[in-house]
Amino acid sequence: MSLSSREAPRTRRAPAREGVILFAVGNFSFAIAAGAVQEVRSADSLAGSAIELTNSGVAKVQHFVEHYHRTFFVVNAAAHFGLARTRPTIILILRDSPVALLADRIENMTEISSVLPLPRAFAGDERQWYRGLAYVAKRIVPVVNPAGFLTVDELQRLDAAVREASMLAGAL
Amino acid sequence: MTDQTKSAQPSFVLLHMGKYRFALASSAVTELSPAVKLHTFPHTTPNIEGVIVCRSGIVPVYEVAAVLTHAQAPARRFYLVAKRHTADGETECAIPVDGDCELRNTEMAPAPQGRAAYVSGILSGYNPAIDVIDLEKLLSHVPAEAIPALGPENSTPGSVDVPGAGQ
Repeated sequence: MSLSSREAPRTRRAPAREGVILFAVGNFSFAIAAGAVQEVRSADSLAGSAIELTNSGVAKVQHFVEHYHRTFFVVNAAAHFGLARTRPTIILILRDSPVALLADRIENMTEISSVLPLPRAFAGDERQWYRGLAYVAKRIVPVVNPAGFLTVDELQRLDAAVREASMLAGAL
Repeated sequence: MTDQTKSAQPSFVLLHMGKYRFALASSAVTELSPAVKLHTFPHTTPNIEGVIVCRSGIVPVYEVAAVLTHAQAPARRFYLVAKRHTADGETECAIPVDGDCELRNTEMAPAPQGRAAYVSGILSGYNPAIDVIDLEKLLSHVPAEAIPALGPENSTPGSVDVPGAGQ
């Protein structure tokens, strides 16, 4: 046995932890990877620059905003999750999705050690909505999938609605 | 009847749900979990109330009382965790029960005509006879409207807020 192997420190690999932002919609809490969020702002701060989308066919999106030269579709989280209408006060601008998510409030930021798979019995839209479940402060909260807020079809319809809105704005 | 004969008989877990008693084959039962916290979150799968954390991990809770007893789930809740065999393999589910569960070795008689499709037989040595539940058939029998999924129940399409509307 070599000296180096004998004296190698017995280190235990610490479990990878992931920073998450906990946000609330109605009575429910959700977690989203902190790395998936570019910015958290007051919903008021974007209200002036929000452009209305009419006839997009995507009920949970009624506005879009141009921010940092990118187009973000404003997704109402309560409508997305099929919850009763709430009073959103914050907006989470996502990093890799063209989504600005309207939510009620931020609860806190924390770390989770793992994302547990959603039990197979859940077979509906939630399989697209969530990456899985996580233990956070003695609660189980769903960890949202940042790419699950809009489907490809919804994105295509919204892109078309934005083009239409832009042409209308240019014609005026 | 000798002890050897008794042990050769199939065993059943008798469970209480309100004023009714039902039986499940003990081979399907994993554990009886105490009244732990039910965690809920939005979803669209009918008949699932939420999840609990028990020894085996995170287990979905099915609301079956509406079908079995035509009443709400028992107030003094325990969770009976049972195995399910689905196309994707073996998984676990939980159903809320009253706490008083018994394990009995007894013979199962065929279900009389007119019993629900999820009744696989009866334990006739009781008065009234106890229905033996086929969990797979029960969970697939529960009508979707019995317990709407949490998501669409409160859906209000069209009532979407404008950014800053909460202020």
